[in-house]
Amino acid sequence: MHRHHRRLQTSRERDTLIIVPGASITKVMLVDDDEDLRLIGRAALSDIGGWCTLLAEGGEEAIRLAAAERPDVILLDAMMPRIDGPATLGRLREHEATAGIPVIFMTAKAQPEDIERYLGLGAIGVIRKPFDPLGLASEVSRILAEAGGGV
Amino acid sequence: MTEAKGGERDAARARLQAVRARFADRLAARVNELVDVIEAARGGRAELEEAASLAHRLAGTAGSFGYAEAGEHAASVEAALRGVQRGSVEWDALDRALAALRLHTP
Repeated sequence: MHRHHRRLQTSRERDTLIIVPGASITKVMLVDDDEDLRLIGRAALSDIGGWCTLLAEGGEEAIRLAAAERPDVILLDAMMPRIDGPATLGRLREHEATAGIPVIFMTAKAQPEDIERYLGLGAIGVIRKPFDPLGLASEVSRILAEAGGGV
Repeated sequence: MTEAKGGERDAARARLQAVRARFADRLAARVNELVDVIEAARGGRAELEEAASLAHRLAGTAGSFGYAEAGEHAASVEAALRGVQRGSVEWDALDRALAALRLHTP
């Protein structure tokens, strides 16, 4: 499985060392064919998470945008028309510019065997749809921190 | 994740709430579109796949906007549509699932 090691940002506040998982993320990309889902996803990642959020409506746009913008992490819908999530991940891994970008699948179909398959393809995690917009950014941070060696 | 201060956090939640509120009309429109496509599928079955795709997307999206029950009923409609496609589910069962979705649509 692809492991993406990520620097953790630390800060001192009242003499207490605070470790913020995934704090080095600045830019995330959300790939989903549903326009409304992209809207609520961007609100969750930008307004609540405080990240710059790139949106792509399909696999081809995701591949092009990822190469140009190099997001820190990609949230990828599993089931999309034309190029689906697993095929998109395969294409991202073929290109040097995008091969190392961590990918998290998002899916309404999250049976244990599906999750196992997605992780086997090289995803660092799976987030279930529907998601809680207030908790999405925290979930992404947690998955990244665990993939980076655990916190 | 950036640590938001109290005021910023409240503003962020307000923006999120605004996005959610705007979805209520969208949800009704999307359910109506689904009803129309299912109606069209009664004549020929080519529209069943399109209807299943609409129901699948609605299932993932509605719950994320806070309409959990609508999302669950949309998932039931998708399952019924797949069943009708396979021939293992009757149209009556699909109609019941669709009626339940409409009941939980604002």
